[in-house]
Amino acid sequence: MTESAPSVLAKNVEFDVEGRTILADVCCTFPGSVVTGLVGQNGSGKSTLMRILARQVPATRGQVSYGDEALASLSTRSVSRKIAYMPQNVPAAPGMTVRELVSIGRYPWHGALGRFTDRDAEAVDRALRITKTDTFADRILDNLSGGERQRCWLAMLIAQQAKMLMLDEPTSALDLGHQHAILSLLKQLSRDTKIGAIVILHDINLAAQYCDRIIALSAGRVVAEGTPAEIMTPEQLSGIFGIPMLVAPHPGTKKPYCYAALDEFAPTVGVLG
Amino acid sequence: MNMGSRELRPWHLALPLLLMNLALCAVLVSRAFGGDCLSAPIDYDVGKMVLFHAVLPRLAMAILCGFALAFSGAILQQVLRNPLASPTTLGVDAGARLSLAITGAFIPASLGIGRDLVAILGSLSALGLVVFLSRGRNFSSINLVLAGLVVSLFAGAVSVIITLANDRYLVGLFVWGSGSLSQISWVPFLELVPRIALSLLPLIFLWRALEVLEIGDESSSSVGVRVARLRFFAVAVAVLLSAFVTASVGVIGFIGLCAPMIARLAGARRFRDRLVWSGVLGAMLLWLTDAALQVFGGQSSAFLPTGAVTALLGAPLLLFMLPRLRFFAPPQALAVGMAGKPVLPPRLVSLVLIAIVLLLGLTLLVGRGPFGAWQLLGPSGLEAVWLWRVPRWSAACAAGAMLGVAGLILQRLTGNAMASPEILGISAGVILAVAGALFFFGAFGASVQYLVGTLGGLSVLVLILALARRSGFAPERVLLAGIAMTALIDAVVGVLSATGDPNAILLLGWLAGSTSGVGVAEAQFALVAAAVLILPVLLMARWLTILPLGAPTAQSVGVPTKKARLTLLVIAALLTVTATPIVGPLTFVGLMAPIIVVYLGLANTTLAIGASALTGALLMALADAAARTIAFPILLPTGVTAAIVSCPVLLILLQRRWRFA
Repeated sequence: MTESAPSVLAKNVEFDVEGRTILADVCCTFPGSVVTGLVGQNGSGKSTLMRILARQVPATRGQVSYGDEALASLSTRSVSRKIAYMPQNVPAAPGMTVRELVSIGRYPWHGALGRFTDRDAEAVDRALRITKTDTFADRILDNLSGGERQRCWLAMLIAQQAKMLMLDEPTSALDLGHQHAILSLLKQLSRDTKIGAIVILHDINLAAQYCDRIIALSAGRVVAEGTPAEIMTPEQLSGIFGIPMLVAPHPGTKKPYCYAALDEFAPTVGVLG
Repeated sequence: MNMGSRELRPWHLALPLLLMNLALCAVLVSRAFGGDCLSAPIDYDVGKMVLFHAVLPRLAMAILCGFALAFSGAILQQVLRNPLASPTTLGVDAGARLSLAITGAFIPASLGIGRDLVAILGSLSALGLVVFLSRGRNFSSINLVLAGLVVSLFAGAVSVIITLANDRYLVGLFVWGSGSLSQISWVPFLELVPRIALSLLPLIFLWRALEVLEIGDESSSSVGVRVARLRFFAVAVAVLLSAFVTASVGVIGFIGLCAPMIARLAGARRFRDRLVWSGVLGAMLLWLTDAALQVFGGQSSAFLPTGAVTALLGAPLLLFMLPRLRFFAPPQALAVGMAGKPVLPPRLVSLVLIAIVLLLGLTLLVGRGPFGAWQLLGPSGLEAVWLWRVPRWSAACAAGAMLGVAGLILQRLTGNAMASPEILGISAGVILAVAGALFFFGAFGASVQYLVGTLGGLSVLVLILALARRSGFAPERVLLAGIAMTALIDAVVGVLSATGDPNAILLLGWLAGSTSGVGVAEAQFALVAAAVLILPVLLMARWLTILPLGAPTAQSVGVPTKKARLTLLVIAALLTVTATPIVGPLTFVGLMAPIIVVYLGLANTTLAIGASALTGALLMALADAAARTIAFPILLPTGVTAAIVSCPVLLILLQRRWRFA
């Protein structure tokens, strides 16, 4: 048995921008070794929370800890060995080959001057294999399709060998097939190597299918937290999305699957009002 | 939230400006009627004549030009959807100025009637060039302005050569080039009025559509606006306005940028408000500047170019605005490679590098014999010219290598292929320091010049870094701070030169970057400095690979983003500061070398650093060889030769579409 990875803990995290409160008193735990989905309406503070958890920006108040260490007390390098983060919009990186991009994930281990060792090369090969990007490893990144490119970025995160991956809407620009491909890859990775992941997703059904736990934000607060089965109830979902929701078993998997319970002319007061 | 009456309105600014202007005018008028003019015969009143034929036309001219330029800027900002667009920042001014200087120097007779036409053609070609350079990147704010600066600098380089060749007209060119409103009759004003009025006419048909453009190109065309056609006509109006003003009074910088900016800040939200208030505020601002110049400028006020003074006021405003500007495009565009361009296979890499080195050697050996015949030197011949040619050649190579690496660093840091040492404002700082020293202390030796220049460059660097510190040295802020700095220093040099000091010619020679004064000691210094500064960059190759992927990614893999950017910026600045005294500030080698390296397909960072250094050295050595031989037996200045050779090459290279995020 591999020991389970430490969890990431947000304690009373607040974030203000120009007097506006984006996050208010967020307390939640993201356990290691499982995939946690972060859901909520547009503007609910999901991305901001993730950027704070990844130490991209400091919280205005409150604290984030990794295991029993405060994240703020760690050096940039040691944070990057523990947490790997993929921003929502990844740049196009023209002129770079896939292998070069994935090798960048080794920076936390070799630093600015260290030698690129066999271990680094091994980690890169492994990441390429896991994401099935090894077949086009020497091609130029910008000649690839959106789905392939997203897998390359995921490979870079894997090569980083962090215990916690954080992905901000990794599926937003992908078609249905590639959405499932990325998430099932992530799920498998988490199960096989006991690493944790936090994923921001817009599609609650995708989240319910692939995540072990779901945390829902609304207006900068945590409004629901639990397993997919606990979240996928009409009451919880209506609270999260502000419109009436229905839940029915999925015809194939028999797992709960949700729908907006609106006819064409129903007033969407919760969203627009 | 409604702030009620406390909300800022444009007239809150316009009214006090008007009152101030009226007060200054009252001073001017009372001056005209005061003094001994009372004793003069009533029909030969000097004061009255000055008032009616110099002071009043000058004021009228200021109001008209301010109005026209501000209108031009407001239209450009709207049509290009770019808060930094203006005749100054897009190189329109510089184009008109250059075309008028060229015709003035070579076919002066044509200026009588075709002056407007020449200015319009110059403006249009400059703007065309700017749009060409920044095309395919959605005309994003920063790219357009950078391309504008590149074109302005290039026009400046050509002007320098022309002025050097015609040094008798030097002061006149300088004064006019910096925009002098001095008038001796009403004729120019009365000629300008119908031209401005005619240019404004098409706006009647355009302004509604321009207002719609607020929602973006695609949405605009979906509500029936023909965007391309609208853009063409609106830009034409803006260029006409600015070209007529330039043809009439010279370049008056920054009014076209500042007035619309102030109008926007003062709460003119809709386009029509912004347009009208821009015009009003532009007129008020230029009037204020000019009246203040006349009241407080004393004896020299007739010669002090108002345009240079507006730039002195405008550039700080641009700096002040920087933190308040929002950038619409994510600043993650990349210059690391070119879309679809295959990476050079390793076998060919060494071949390319060897070819560059061989060419470098060739530039040393090629020359012209005593009677002008072309020849290649053998070992014995090389010995004969050793003392003259080798120091000059090696200093040029060292400077080129340093600029090439500085350019590579800046392009990678900013993710922008247009970023270069010339544009960071550091070269400009070097010039300013040398100019100041020349004018206040007179001519001095080369080593003092190096020292003064280095100090100037370093102080600009410190200033830029201080300004960009709040944003964590975000590259686009650094670039904009550099642009503002370049404009500011340009203005100072303009004012200094307009004083008619004979040192201006020395300064010009220095601007042109002549390597003929380089001796053995300077060459040795340049070579050592190049080695000392370029080697550490090789150690930072990994930072240069990762930083272009954007700050979030860089930070996520553990790169200390702030520290890395700061270190690299400082090295780029030191490289620039060391190279500028040798080859002058206007070479474009720092811009070209990294672009050529990308074009060759050298994507690997360590290789790219070495190749940039070699390519930079080669470009400069080629320019040096050309400067030695083309006009033989006359030696041309190396720096400007490099610039003039570089620009067409740049255009050819940019034919291939670059991919930007």
